[in-house]
Amino acid sequence: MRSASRTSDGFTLAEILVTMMVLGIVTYALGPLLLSSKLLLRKGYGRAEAIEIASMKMEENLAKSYSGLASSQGTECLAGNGWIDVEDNAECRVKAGDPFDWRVTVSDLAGTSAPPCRKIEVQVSYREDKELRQTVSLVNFVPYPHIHVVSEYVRGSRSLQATPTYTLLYSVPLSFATKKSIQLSYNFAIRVIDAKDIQPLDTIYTQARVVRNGVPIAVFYPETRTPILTQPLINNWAEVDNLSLRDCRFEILWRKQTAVSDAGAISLKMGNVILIAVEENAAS
Amino acid sequence: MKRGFTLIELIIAIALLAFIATGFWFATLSLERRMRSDTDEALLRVQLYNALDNVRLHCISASKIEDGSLFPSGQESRKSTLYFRGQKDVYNVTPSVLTDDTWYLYSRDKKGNIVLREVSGSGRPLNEEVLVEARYEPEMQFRYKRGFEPNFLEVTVSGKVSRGGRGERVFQKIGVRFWFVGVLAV
Repeated sequence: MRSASRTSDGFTLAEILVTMMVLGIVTYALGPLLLSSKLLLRKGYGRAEAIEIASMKMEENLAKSYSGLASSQGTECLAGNGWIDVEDNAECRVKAGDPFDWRVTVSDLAGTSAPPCRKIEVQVSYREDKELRQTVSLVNFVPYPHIHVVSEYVRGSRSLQATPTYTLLYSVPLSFATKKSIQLSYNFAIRVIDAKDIQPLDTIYTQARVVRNGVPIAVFYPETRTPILTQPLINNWAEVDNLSLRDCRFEILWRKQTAVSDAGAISLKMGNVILIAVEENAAS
Repeated sequence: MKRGFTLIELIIAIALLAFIATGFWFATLSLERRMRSDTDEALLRVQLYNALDNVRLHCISASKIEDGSLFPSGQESRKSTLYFRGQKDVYNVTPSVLTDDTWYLYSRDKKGNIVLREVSGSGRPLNEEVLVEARYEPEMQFRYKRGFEPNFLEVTVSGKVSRGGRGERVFQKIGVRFWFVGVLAV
């Protein structure tokens, strides 16, 4: 049988105090860990809010037309009543603390044989901690549009009168980065102001063309011929193929041909013009 | 010899334990409160995110915006409701067919929830979906700003959470593009 040779006194007060001190030190050391997790959470929210603003700005630019895309920049911040733009409220920085600076950069992608393309880059910078600012970035590409449509109502005027030689009836600028085929449709109602000396075979002619620096580069056929007395409505549908249309103008001209020199007075009542420009070949 | 604790030692030990236990209890209480408020905020953020995703999905295929929901042209304005006709099945968009459309209304109901109501052409409510619960005191805002395209709106939703014993509002926003209609009164 084993004798109880060892004494069993339990812990002394000093031992307990030392143990507690050690525990205290360990707990104190764990404190910053808790704080840093809180900081990490704040960083995460800052990043999430920056991405929110970047997505919003990207969507805003994707809503624009290809030619309407432009670089821009600004500042937003979160105030008591939600997100506000700094340009709308100069006191934003004071009121709301850390602002988010955003920049939209639009650039043309060149050097490829494909149709032109624009790159949109949105960068939003936010404050991660007291010293450091971080940036989130979103990128998107907008291809050159395949179809362009010009649709216009033309209001008439008594002062716009047909003459025996071709004069301008309607004009609109055309400028596309790629070659286009154009389908054209127009209707014009004419007003006979003065029918004096107008004969049954007297005619109104219209012709559509594309000019660059005043020089015609394409003419739409056919030319319309409309008897003045019997049909005061001009209709035309025509097309031209595969045109390079940078810095051009589309024009419709008109003239009257009368048996008696300079007979009658004819003006434009109203009209509408529809031009549909379609990309003929993506690689052309 | 086997000696037990003296009374003084026991009293000091009990006092220390009580002190530590009180500290732990307060720490646990504060941690629990913090966890509850963080969970609450996380739940709110999920609801805000889903609400905005719901708006984006339904607005894309809108085919008509009711006159009262249109924005005055060229000037800053905000609305808290949006009433429009849109695709019933948002994953099968047929913009030229109106027979498979329905009317939608984003608004706040009487209880204070932010809801999406599906409404028949005659104004009869068909369906209602709660997007953000009333307990968060939610707000929804549709904003048109000068310079925006005529088919673009900024949508913000927010809700209140308790943070550190005081209420704080959490915001989320997105930009919404309407593909087939404009948002401006012409």
